[in-house]
Amino acid sequence: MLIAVLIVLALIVAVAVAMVAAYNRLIALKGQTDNAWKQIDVQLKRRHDLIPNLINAVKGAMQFEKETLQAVISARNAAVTAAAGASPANAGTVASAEGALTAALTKFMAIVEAYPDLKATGNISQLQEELASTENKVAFARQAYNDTATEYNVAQKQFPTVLVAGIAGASPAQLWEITEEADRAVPAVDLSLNQ
Amino acid sequence: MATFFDLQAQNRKKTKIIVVCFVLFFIWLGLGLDLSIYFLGGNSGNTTSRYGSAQKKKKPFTPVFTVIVGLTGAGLAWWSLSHASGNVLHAMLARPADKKRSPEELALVNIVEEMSIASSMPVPQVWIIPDPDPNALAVGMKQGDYHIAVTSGLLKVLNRDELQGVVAHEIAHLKNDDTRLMTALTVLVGFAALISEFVARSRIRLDLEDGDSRDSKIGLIIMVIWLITVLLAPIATKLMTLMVSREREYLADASSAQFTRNPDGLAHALIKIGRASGPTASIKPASAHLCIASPEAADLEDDAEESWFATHPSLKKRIDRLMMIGRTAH
Repeated sequence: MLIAVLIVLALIVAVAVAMVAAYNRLIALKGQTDNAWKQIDVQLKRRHDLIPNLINAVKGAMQFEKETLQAVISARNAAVTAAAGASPANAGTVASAEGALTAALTKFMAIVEAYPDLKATGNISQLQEELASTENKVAFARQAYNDTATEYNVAQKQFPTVLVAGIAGASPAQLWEITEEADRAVPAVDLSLNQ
Repeated sequence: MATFFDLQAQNRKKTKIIVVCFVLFFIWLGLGLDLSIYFLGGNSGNTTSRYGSAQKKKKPFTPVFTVIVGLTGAGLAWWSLSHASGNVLHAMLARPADKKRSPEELALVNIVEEMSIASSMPVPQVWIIPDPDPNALAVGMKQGDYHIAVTSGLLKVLNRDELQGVVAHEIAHLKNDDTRLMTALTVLVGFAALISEFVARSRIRLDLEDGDSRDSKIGLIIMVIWLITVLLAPIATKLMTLMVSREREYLADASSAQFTRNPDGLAHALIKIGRASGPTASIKPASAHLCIASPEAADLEDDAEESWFATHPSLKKRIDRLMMIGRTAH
């Protein structure tokens, strides 16, 4: 009799431990997903901050390309506005503003390529590397967000975490998908280290 | 159809199995001795056990050595993890990478930042080792103490994509806790060697006047098996550690592919590193398991078979696996 009671007690404890572990896993994943989303924000801001430097560096030599410069500046300002109220819910708006900025930058960099004197100065190649890296960081931040969000979403449907998903207040996170054609276009920046 | 996620799951499982074997092996190192003492010392007769009071009647089974070996092993592993610091870098004459020094170093620092974002890891410190042979390694046990070092030769030969693959591989070593795992295992290998040395040098004297009793026969058999395993322990644990090391290399490769989403980058980097098959003089063999490729020249030969004593799988196998991920990704 005593043994039966003990076994039942042990089972209850085991189930409780498993539930707590599942709950904690969901909360941890939720935190990671939020954090990964913030990381995208950080990288977008970095990218926006870099553009004025880039414009200043080339302004003098590119007097007659005012239109292109203006396009980059206005696309950048639109992206800054969109990023201000960014949350996983309006990921689409942010994504399209960023897509437009990428397109403007791609065109801009292509024109810079056409100015050998400009390219020859150390400053611009350094800025080019920074820009390329920032583009990568934005992309990797999105990728990390999508990887984490996917893990979070899968966990919500898996056993035993599915049982505590309601208590943990878990809801599926939206993935950052590339919707704009411009965003699919790969910026034509020459990245080779050995020239 | 293996994706990098499948490969990672597979590698983690294999590591777990090997680590469990490791633990079981250490339990046996203690338990085997306890059991043989129990059976040998317990029979009635004039046997005097060296290890306990000379009782005439059967003693209760007391796993003294199991506890001693277990606690010492766990303690050593814990100690090594909390004390070993990542300052092997100074021994290699490494200097911190400087963004302003050259375009290559700027790109390197940027790539490390990119890969820490992709892997959701804190940004490690970046170091340059002045060595013409292309290689890279990761050092560090805990957050705030993570370092990645690459040789100046590596910066010269790799392009940006390839460098990204290599940096992702090193970050994966940190993220997967390989630095900790390998340090703990290395210390345990040392401990096994110590036990073995101690047993080999001590004179074991068995009083077997009542050798025909059943218990003492069992005890004798256990003792002989135990002695054999103890004497083989240093080599056995070393081989298990190296097996773990090779699995962790595959895991880091697969994780690198996850972070960069470009397995070809690392594959091409490995091809280039394999071609420059000189030894990396400034990296000590003790840190070999944290490098992108073995610092020993002989391990990088094209026809080098995967040896039981290698810290890394053969470059060819690693490149093949990366290419396989590359094919399924498209």
